[in-house]
Amino acid sequence: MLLYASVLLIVIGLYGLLTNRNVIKIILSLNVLEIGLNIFIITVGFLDLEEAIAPIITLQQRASVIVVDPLPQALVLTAIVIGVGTTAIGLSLAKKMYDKYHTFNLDEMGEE
Amino acid sequence: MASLELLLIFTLISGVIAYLVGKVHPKTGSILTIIVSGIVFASLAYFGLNEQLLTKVSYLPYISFIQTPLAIFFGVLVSFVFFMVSFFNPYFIDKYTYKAVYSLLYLLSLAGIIGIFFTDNFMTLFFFFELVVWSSLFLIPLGRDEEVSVWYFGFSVFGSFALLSAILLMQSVTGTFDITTGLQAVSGFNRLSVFILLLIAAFAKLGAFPLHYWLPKVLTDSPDPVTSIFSGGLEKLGAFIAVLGLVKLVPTGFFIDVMDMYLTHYILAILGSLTIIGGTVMAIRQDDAKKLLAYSSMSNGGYIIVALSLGSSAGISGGLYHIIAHAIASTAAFLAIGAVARQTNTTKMSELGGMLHKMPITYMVYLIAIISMAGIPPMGGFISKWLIFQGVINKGLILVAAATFFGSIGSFLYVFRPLAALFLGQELPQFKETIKEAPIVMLIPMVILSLLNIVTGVYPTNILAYINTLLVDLNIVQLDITRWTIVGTNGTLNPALIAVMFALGVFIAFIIFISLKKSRKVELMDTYTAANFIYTEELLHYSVDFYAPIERLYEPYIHFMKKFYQALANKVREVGALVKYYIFTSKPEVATFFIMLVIAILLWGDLV
Amino acid sequence: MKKILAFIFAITLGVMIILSLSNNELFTDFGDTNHYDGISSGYITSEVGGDEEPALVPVNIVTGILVDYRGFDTLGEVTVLFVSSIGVALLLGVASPKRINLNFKPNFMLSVGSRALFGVMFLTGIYIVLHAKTSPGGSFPGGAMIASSILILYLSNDTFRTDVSKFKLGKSLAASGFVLVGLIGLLFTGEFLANFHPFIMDTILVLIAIDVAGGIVGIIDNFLTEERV
Repeated sequence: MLLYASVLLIVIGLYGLLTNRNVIKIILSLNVLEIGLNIFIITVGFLDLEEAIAPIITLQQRASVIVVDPLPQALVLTAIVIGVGTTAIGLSLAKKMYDKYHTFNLDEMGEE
Repeated sequence: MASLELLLIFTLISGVIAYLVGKVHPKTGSILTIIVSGIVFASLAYFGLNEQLLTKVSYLPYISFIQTPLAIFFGVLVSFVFFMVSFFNPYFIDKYTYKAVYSLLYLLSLAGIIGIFFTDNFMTLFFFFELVVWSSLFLIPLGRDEEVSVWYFGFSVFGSFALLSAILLMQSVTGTFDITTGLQAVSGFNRLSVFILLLIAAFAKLGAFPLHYWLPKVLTDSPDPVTSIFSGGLEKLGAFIAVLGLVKLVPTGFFIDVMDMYLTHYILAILGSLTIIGGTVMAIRQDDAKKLLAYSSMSNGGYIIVALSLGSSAGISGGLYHIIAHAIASTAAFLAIGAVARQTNTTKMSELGGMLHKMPITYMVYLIAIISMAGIPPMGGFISKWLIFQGVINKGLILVAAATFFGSIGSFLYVFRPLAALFLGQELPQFKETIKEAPIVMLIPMVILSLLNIVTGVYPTNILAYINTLLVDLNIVQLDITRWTIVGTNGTLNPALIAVMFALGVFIAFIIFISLKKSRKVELMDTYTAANFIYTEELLHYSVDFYAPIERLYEPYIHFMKKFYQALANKVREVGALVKYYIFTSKPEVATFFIMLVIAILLWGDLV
Repeated sequence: MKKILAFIFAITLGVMIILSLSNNELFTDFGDTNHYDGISSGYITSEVGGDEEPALVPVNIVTGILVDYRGFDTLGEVTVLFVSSIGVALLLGVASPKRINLNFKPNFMLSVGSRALFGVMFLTGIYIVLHAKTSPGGSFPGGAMIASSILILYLSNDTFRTDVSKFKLGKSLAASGFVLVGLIGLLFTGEFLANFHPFIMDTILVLIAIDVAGGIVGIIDNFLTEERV
């Protein structure tokens, strides 16, 4: 189910990218898409077992513990931080555009 | 310094120091390049020729060195060229926009050279190969034209990718990056692929047909010391790669019994001959002396390819000897032209004349260099060409032999034109008062190179003996040499005897010259044409348009490679414009749409 | 019309993704993954019964992957954050910066409340950073929390701006410190970012937290400044 939800988020993000001409909305669509992607990656590592736990193991439990896949989580953690970076750059570009054209709409900016 | 690693680190660090010093005082920075390249050459030559180089690595990670005769051969030669050319640096440094960077890049290239020749790991070789490509890339636009370095970059990238693919293919088949064992272990079709890829890299670096287009441009438009470096030093990297591909890699391809030679090697010999012919034919019609020498450099690269592809002892030793002879001769010739260019600010033959009276030593240097380049005894170029002819005739390759003879005769035709145009003839009025002989420091390397030109021609035994030990290392039959003679299959060459005869001839000519009536110096205006005295100081050169009738014969056919590459460049530009127009438009949704379309197409394969 | 087409196209792509995933043998069903066969098994087993000293291995495997096994990638990630904050500073940087004029004046509740909140948030952030070895997400959430505690002060206090620049310095120092720690590993064991002492991982975690906090504060600070007219 979570898989479908993540794909739905991706689709929403793509739809937003295809239809919006507003810079801020485009950036938001990108963020939605990114969240969908992150959820998707997380679901890949999920283990649907009663005894499976989060990948935090204390010394006492060392042996015979089943954990969910930690690798997607580590990847997503990295992806989130990088997403913050790209969003920040995108927003600052949007701010620059606004300073120049006094609009966020791409149509009103014209060519160039 | 006997340790290769210390030598490498020393060169890199002194490059940075030369940069910092050059920021304050450019001339001091360029003098540093002389000292550093001198130390590098001295260490490589002294310890290398005694086989005492230390290959132990203790500071640099992932780098390993090995000391082979081949590496020492190339290392000593190229570092020598760098050392000789570095004497010119202080006199040219004022002409560059970025004075400090020049010294840095010069030493970086030198460091790259050490790394390429002495490493035993192919990836390290590639790393240093790229170091040389990148540092030399930024040396070129210090001259006149920046577009030239784009051409150089294009061909270099092509060659580098070929080299990298060859390395990775070799590694994936054999599981090792080691040059010697890896090249011997590759087998079957992969060996053919590695061979072709390595040779593409070699051709791109050597400027051989059909990857020659950049070479004349680069050699013409870079600053004069950089031209010498390219012609004498960096071009030889291609020869080194060619040796790896042709000699170290086990030969492969269809074996032709009749010719006693592999088809792949025969094709290479044909390509080499085309390079010789192309270079010669183009050199004949140049007006710029530097460009003429550039094309001659290209044609000599063809000789190296032909010689190495023969695979016999005469061929390979001839090729290796030609590498030495051409490096020395072309460095000397380019330095001489550079000296003229520095004093007069032009290299056009139609604008120069009578330099003999002002720059006699430069004239002698150039004369000796071109005698060697044309392969006339008693200079080094003769020995190598003799060996190459021996090898070609032994194999019975008629077409290739015709091409090599054509190139040899063609070089008689063209190398004497700059001599006549630049140095002989009447003095031009604008150069009459101001021009002086080049400074003494610039004369030092030119004189040394000239002496070496003669030594390699008169007494080649020592070098050939070293090439023989190199051949043992490469598992090839040794050349038959005695103290004074070289024994080929079709005859025995005695260079010293020839030199003595030559000296006698020169002596007799000198006596005749002395005893005859002195010739009178004719001024430029002291003549008449069409029954009228001339009143403008025009240069009536016999060396300009001298070969116009021959040129007219082949003029329509020579531009096809130029047209091909120009068309290729235009196509690349068009594709770029197309992508920009249709995909990366100002509408973000179009780009998104195309990205989604690509994803959908990729997913389609999973669905059906 | 365009919107409908876009809608159809996006939905089609989504359906294609789901279909191709459900048909694919390599892609396991939800919750059925068998990662003990893959790359992560190496990380997990070296956690569970590995030969490393227990003190060197963090309790949280995600943190272990981020900081130890794939420490070099994390360095790259820190670099991305660093570069993006530099990019923002380049795009929005002005000659004589001044804080942007907000439409509201901070009232009594906001200024007092934010101070009270600041302490709680800041301490929680530090707590999370110090327990990064056990908590999910390592020290990234801690860093973000410290950043938001600073930003709360930033909103409520007009004179706070000058102190923020110190955070940027801290960020740069932290990023350099990361590389320095890696070089220390190179010096002692011959491996970049080698984890040979428990202290190394703690240091890296703290440095990442400072880096993240400094990066976020710097980015927001750039957004909230304008040129002094």
